[in-house]
Amino acid sequence: MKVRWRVLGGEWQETDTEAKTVGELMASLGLSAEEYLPSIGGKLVTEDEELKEGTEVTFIPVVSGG
Amino acid sequence: MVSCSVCGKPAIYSAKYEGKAYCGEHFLEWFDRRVRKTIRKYRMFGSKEHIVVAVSGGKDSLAALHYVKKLSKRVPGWTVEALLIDEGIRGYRDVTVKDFKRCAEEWGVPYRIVSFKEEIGATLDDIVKKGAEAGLPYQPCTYCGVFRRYLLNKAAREMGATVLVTGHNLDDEVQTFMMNIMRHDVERLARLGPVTGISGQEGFVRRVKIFYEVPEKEVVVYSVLNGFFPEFVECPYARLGFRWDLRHYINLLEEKYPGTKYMILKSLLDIAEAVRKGKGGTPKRCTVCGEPSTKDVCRACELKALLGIG
Repeated sequence: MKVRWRVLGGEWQETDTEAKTVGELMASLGLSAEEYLPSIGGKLVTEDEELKEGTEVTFIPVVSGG
Repeated sequence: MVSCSVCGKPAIYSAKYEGKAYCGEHFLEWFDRRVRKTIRKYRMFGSKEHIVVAVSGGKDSLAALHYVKKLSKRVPGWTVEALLIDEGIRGYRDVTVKDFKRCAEEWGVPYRIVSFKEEIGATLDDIVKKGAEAGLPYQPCTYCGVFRRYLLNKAAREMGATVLVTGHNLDDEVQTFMMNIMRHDVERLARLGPVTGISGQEGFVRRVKIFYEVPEKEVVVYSVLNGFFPEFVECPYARLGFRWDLRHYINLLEEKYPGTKYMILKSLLDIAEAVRKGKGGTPKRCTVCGEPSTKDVCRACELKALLGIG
């Protein structure tokens, strides 16, 4: 299944993934759930949110840069 | 899909350490309840206060300002102002100052901006260069932290603050505690806590951390739900500090063993209290600048002398 994702402020990327949920996608991308909050369509979602073909996920960085 | 533990609607956040999930509305209620509990538990505010909120333009301090300003509407004896320290970090602070000004104006909060250049005698960028030239062993975060804390107290006092609020959260406190342990800095460890500083000493403004028991992740959720999550911009010096690596390791542990951060915080509170009894240090005045200090010469004046500035 193909999904699109980006870290807030970064470029969109397309990934062919076997992940069924946002949490599995994060794990496959090496993004810690303590350090990124997932959102879909401008709304926050939990890691259990199911992915569908073409889902676009934005990861909001938790760690501030200062 | 996970449901809200309160109303059953789709959840937007799972608090794994307590096995509950929340929708947006109930997250904000839960957040508010916990922050108010922290404020009460540590007696952070009285009925009459002039509250100055230390801001950087990042999400933690903006969230603290948003929260305090909102809470102040229910307390007639409170006035709220913001204080921003401009360290002089090219390409970073100028962006966050913009975010801060936009929010302060929208929320109707008066503010003051104080710069390293005017008050300390050099921007942080210049200080880092001077430090390297002088062969000093300090990281940029050391200079920044010392001078920022120094100016926050001085400027807040000049603004007539009765209490200074900072946006420090659970993650910040746990990281600082672990850093102090790893560096064997027991004196600094003893000064940690939700209400900090050389309390009771003239010239020192009491400093309180209203998000002391809130994980950093939840401060982000609060700012996103309230529509003011700022533009993400990273301090050019952030990755050079010890904290950068340490927080990643603590986050890995929290992810694998939810509740780790709270357990470290509990240890911190017990250990800091025990250490304070024996090693707290007597409050004094710096013999150079007259600001409150635990030593004869405060750390800011010590660094200024080493850097040849001010």
